[in-house]
Amino acid sequence: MNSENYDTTLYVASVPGKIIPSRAEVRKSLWEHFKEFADEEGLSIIEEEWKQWIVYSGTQVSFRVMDVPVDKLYFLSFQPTGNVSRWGRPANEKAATSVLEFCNNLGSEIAIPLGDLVFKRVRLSDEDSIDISNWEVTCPLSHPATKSSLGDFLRETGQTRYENIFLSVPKKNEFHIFTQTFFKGIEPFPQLRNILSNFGTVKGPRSMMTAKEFGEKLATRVKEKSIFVFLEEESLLENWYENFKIFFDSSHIPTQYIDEKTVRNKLPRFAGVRANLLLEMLTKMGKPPIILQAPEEIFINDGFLCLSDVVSTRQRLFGALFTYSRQGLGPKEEVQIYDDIEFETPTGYSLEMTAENVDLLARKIHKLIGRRLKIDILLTKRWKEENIEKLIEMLLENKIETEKVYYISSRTSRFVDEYLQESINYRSCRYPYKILGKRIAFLKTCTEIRIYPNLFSLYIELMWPKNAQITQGDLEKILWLAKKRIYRIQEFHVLKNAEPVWIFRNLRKMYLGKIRERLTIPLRLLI
Amino acid sequence: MSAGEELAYPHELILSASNRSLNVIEGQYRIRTKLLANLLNFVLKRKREKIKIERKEDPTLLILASLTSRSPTSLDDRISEYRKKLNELMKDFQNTQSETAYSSFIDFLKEGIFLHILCKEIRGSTVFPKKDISKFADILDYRENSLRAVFSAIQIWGTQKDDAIPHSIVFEFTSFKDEALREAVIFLSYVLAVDYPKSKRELLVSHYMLVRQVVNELKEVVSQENLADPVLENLFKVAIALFFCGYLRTLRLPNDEKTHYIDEILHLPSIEYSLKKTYDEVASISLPHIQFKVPLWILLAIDSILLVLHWYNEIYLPLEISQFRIKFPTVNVPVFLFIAVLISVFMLFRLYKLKGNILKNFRRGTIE
Repeated sequence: MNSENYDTTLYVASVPGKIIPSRAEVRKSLWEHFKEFADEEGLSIIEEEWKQWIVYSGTQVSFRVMDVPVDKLYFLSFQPTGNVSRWGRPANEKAATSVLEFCNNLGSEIAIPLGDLVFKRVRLSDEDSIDISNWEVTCPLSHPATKSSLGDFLRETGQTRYENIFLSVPKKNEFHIFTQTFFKGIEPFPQLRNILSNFGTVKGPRSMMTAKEFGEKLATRVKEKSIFVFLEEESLLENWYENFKIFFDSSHIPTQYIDEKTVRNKLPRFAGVRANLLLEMLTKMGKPPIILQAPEEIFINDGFLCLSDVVSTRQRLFGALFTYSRQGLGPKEEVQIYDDIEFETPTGYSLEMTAENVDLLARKIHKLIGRRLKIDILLTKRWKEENIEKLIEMLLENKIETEKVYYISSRTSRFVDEYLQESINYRSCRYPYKILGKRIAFLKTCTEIRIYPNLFSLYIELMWPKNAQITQGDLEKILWLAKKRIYRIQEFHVLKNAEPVWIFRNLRKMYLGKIRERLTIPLRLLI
Repeated sequence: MSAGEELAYPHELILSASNRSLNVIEGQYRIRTKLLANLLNFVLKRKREKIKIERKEDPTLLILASLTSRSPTSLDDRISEYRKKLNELMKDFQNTQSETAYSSFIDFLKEGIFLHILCKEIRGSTVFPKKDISKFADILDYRENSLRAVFSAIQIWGTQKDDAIPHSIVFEFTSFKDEALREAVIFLSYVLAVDYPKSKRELLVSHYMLVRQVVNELKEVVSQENLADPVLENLFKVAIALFFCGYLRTLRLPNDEKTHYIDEILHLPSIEYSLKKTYDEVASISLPHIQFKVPLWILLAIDSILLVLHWYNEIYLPLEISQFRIKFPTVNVPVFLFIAVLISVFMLFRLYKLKGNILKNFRRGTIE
């Protein structure tokens, strides 16, 4: 292995002729090629109607084909599959190594007769990477507010076992505990009380049944420094979550749901879990003890607008979220969910809506942002070009200027790579990327492996302007959005998705119920 | 000391901010922080560095940069850009009536207040023409009484009158809490005290109270490393406002009033320290080649002892002077008396110059 280049399981082919073969044809032709290869190597294959796998060293290897007609490119990516939700770090690493070995055997070039396509193996390089160790971490609540470089901050956090974070947490908080089972004296309530009492006053425990009434009667002054903590068994907690989450979020009361096993087994033993819990609770309360700030030269714009469909159990809703990227522009970041925007999702990756609905959405966004700003737009699904242009035009009429539109996906063309096999790269602050064609890039946002999605890079496509090229600066912005979730400090190196995209994905899990007209929730409550 | 003579004294806060400014300009800090550090350096020492601005569309940054620029014409253009953007934000709010549009407008307006003071003090330009002030003031809601008072103060700043200033200004300045306008109020309360003698007492009370509050707040800050950008920006703004008031140079008020307020109201440790240090420096003599200073009271004690010795023993010692082959006859000299007289003359001379030396050293302060 070269010290500067890292093999991947992604291949790219440029279409030599004028006619671009269809994706189904290419996939079929590639599968024939792989079957021959498997036959030669004595590998077993699994073939179903829509899926085909090759088994290599006990790992099922699946492949995906994706076309990029604008750049006349074809992507071929290999990934491990199986019962992935059960895989821990060793299983994930083993699977990734198997797929890499499989590709080594397959060769660095795959030629198929269809359209004279030659797929060439893509390599990540040290040169194409973003080093964020110099980005700043500020502690706005310490007296006086201080800052340090991210590299130093993470080092200090490791050396002090999160003590630097505990010291930066203000102590005048109120934790209102609610439970149905673990009342005074019943473990793990005393354990939770002992931990939280280091950072404020613990009140309760009260019955979950009275939580809504208690919240409604709470004075604004008390509400501002309070968080409701729900402690219950995992199975019961899910029901309470469904019942409470939207109610308290729309009442602007921060809530934290803690499974009793986490309190018993993890909180007392792992300082990182305690730090995560405290940072998340305080961030929800609107007083984040630590903030990651990217260098200001990255941000020429004022913020990011993320647009996504929100599929709830009862309705197909549409959501808009605005995140400020510049310090001091305004802390009021909100997520709005609309029930009157009509749209279609013909595939899992695309979204369509009529011109009237684009117009309606633009007016709603104008109300959400409410000021003249220059923004970037993030999409969680691909939009039609004319819809994007119409939206940008409408926003401009309302003095909201759009700089760029990105489509971000964590599932498109998933491939694994060798980057983390070098111990120096493990948990490092340097994130490699690969730009392919003019508008597509893959950004590796995880430098640690814990769960299956950590193996893969983010897919980022510049959707607008049409003639622009994606640059490292664009990727730095997306990386900041992913790492700005530093309140999950223990998971910092595995924070993968951009925060707004992550929030919409999380919203899908929430029981939104039947909303009428619009639902507005402060962003901080949805983290 | 005549009434018109100015008393000047150094202020540790300004010096600490000044010391930090170079590191900030060269270090990894936000553009706004660097520009404020550069501006402090410029007003204090007339030194300026070239700072590159990425966000060309932010007129507040451009105004800060223009204030230290060598081209005086660029400032007026930047101010026009600021006014244009402020008017746009005002129209946005008037059209939408949304809270976000209102807060955008207010935040931008508040940024402009300090810029107005900077422009007027450094270049004599104004960010808010008088006709615009009343237009903006009409939009402000009931929560912005401090801002309204600051606007009123800006309108009357520079127009000396025998009347007292409006009570609303005094009231708002006395109970002032809006951090975004603090530096402006520190400065305006001081300059209005000069312009409006009838309101001087109330305005100076507000001023010194705010100065004390700010110094107490920032004195812990100045010794800390790795300060966050907003803290440093605050420090530089306060230092600039204090410098404009005359701390470190000359205060703008008659001396007797200043010393009165320093004694009665301010009680800043830094000033007491400076006074003590200046007195110790002046009321002592240092012997050449010896790092030891003899205070005047020790000289007085030595003088007294010598006189007692002379009176008690009346010791006369023979003195023969032999120089250039010329011999004088032996004379009996009262040595103790002679030395005592010499010391007395020296002490009289130092006492005669004491007032002047104290003032001289106090003015020079600790910037050496």
